Amino acid sequence: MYSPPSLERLINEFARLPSIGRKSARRLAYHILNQKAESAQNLAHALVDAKDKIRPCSRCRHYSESELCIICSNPRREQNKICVVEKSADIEAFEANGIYRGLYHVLGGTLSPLDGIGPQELHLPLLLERIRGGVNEIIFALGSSPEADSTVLLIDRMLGDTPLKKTRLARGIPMGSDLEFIDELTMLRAFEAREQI
Amino acid sequence: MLKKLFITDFRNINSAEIDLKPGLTLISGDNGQGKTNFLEALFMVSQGWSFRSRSHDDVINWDAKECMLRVQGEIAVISESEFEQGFLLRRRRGAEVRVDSQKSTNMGELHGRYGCVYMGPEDIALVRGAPELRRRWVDVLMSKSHPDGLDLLRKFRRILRQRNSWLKTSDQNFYGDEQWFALTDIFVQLWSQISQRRAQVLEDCIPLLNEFYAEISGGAEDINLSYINGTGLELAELVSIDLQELQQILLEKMEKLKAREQIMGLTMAGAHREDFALNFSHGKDFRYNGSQGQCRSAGLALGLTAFEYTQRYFQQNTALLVDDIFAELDAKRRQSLANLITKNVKQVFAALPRTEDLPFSSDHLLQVQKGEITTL
Repeated sequence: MYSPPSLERLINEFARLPSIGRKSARRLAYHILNQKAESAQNLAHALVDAKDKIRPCSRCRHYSESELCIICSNPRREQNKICVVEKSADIEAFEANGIYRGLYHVLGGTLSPLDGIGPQELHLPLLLERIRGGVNEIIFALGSSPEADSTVLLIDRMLGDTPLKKTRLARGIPMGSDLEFIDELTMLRAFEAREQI
Repeated sequence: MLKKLFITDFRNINSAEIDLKPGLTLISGDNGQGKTNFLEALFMVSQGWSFRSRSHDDVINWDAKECMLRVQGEIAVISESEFEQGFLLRRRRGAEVRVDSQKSTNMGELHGRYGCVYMGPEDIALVRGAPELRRRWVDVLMSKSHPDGLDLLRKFRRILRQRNSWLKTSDQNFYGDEQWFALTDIFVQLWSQISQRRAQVLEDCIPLLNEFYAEISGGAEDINLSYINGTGLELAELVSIDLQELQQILLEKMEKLKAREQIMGLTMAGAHREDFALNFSHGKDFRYNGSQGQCRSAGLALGLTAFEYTQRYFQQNTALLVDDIFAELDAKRRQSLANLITKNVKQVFAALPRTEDLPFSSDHLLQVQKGEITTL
């Protein structure tokens, strides 16, 4: 090793981040060294600050700086709709277009006994409590893996006969894409989910 | 038609550039020289998986860090069009795949353009061998005829592992019934679809199987297939039954097994335990009532059926790879098998340790010696 130990340590830390390899880690580390001390401090503070202040919202488990997240504490959102997503980052995709005006619930994963994830790890008791507290529609936005499907079934079962509208996002051909380039599987699902006009 | 194969550090073949020709190409060489490796290379570059090993690392030459295969050919459907595909494998790293000029990292991209069917000594054992062999036989055909076949199998395997893990370790007290249902319902949905598609494939195969069997054995007996999935449904019923109804039957079966499964900590029924049997027309099972010769002939007939089925799907753009299947057959059967192969197939690659064994004349000859391939 030709680099000083502190530089090596920085490279190692960067290399532990997702989708960053040794080479990119080295590039990032050199970039930081070439910058003013102030910007490195800003980055360090931002990291510590975010980790210190941000915690899951006590209602929906979305990241938040306060007890309730921005979405849960907004009285203008439709309080009787919950969209169930796997992770916080998924909420961004919905919020980017502003079509959905209801609330969310972040599961933090899908049912996966292999990884030791059961109903409690997914905060399902919390979700049930919320639903029984006066919600009339639940929307599942969980992807298409078999684990996601069984999670939907599990929640459905746990709800029993609670009167509620349950929906899931449609699967099929993405907007603006040419039919010629759709793979067979997507086409098959689109056919299965075709609608009456 | 496949026209040219490039090999670099694949198993014991260091470097080769081979012109592939129509008709029958004979690959000769002593044991352990690399005949099967050559067939495997041809299969893997056109299908994206190996019939011999699960791990990609296995196919890389022991002394090399990476291996590369590339094939050029022509697909004839309405008109003829050139194609080229190949891949580069690095030890413990992903694959780099190229299909024409498109790059990818998914070996699956290689699959589905040009058919290739391998018939080896294991086909002879297909009738009496483990159920897993027969499941693989039908699954390979299913994944060709049903676009979602592979996806269903992949998802099924995944949910099976989840379910086994849940039965073994998880806390089943907290909403246990609900968890059982969530895992079992998805399991049954996938199982029923796989079952029905497999049954469909088998039903389509019966006439082909009989045709080939009659020609190989010269015998008059008819073969019937029965499907064993624990529901007691006949093959034809399984094909025509409403999917919802089948799911209901399978779900009831799982409910009966529930208590036992929880004690054993294991999923005790499913697509991973299904099997099919070959029966004589009077209903007796080949496995227990057929002679060695009858079982072998039926195994080879299954192999040829797979080829014909694939060939229909790919509209004739299919190559047949034959690996030492004549060894255990008598002269008469050898001749009829040879006739079948040369009659039906445009491009055959046959590996044999002894050329004097060959019951037909070859159009081209390749010699393999210690991984060196020479055209004679």
